[in-house]
Amino acid sequence: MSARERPRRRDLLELLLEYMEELQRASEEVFETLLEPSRPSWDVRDGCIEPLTHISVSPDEVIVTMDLPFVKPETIRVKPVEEDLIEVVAEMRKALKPRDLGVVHVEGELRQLRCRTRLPVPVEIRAMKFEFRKGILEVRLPRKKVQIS
Amino acid sequence: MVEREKIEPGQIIVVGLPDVGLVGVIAAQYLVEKLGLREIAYVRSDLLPPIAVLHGGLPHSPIRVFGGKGILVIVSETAVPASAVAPLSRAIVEWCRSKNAKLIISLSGIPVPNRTDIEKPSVFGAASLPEGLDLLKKHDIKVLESGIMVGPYALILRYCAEHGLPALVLSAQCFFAYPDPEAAASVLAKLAGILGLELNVEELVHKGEEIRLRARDIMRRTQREMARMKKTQEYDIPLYV
Repeated sequence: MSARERPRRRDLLELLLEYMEELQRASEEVFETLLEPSRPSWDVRDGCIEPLTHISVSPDEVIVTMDLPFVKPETIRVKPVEEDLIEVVAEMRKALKPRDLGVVHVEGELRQLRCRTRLPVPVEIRAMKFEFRKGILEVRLPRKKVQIS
Repeated sequence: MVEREKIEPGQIIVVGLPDVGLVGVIAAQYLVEKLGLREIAYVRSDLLPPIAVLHGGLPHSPIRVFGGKGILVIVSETAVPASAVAPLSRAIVEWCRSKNAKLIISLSGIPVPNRTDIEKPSVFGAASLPEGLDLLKKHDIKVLESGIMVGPYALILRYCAEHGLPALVLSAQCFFAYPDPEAAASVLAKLAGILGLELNVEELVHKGEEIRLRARDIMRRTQREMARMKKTQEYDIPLYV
């Protein structure tokens, strides 16, 4: 390696480091966007509260759980919207005013818990099953088997 | 820590910070309400989000200390940013040291995947000193013999151990990502036993659904900070060779 080549090599390293830093910044921004709620979790215009949701993926299935306090269990509806999207809607036992939850500057009523959840891996969406216990809805969806030729 | 009034040294200090199931926050707030404690100090820090919590139209710090009945309760009304966990934990322990705390008891949860199968959550404990383990056993609290703790309680316990301060962590089995008032009731029942307090926790269970609805947003923000802290390590099986 000649002395003349060294500065060029250092420049390449610097470029690589800059690229890595930029990549890290971009991934942090994506992480922030995914985690930071960008809108309120309730809206009096459609009378809905968005429930807390958790998704876990096992080798065989995707399990979506949701915390559904105050709902009438018989009104819980879980339906596929797209191949990788499910919607859950449940009526609350009584309509709540934002004031009941400590929000005094908005008038209106909240009557439903509702949310749409995007599934992270392909599933057999028509084969989904759900169960409601102790206020928690658990939706189980078998994962799609992929044929490798 | 900014003190609003003179605080008697040598008191028991209870800590309720946002964590899995919001067990500590729910339990600490219930304790403050039931004992009729008043705000006597608060945390002022640039590391916390730029917020004021309004009560009766007046601004308060999101992390406050309540007292007035021979017990101090530290409680947060906002998710603690992951970046602030270490300095906050250190500040709490330093302040407890300066107040010559008789005992520091952190109220917390321990996530279990089969929470919906559990009717009454069990409470487990860890201590900063061997004497603390004896206290746990005396009150029929199973000791967390091994495992990983993540978050402010982990650091408070470690810093207390470093300074020889007596501290306990009481953790009830709970949901990872959902507010868990039943777990808070379990942990409060054990706390009441240790403190020799008459405390009816039934109301907490009765109001469970309302609490779960109200606690959604702080739980959502706490989930975000827990992800940053790699909180799921608490599920990990400890390595022993």
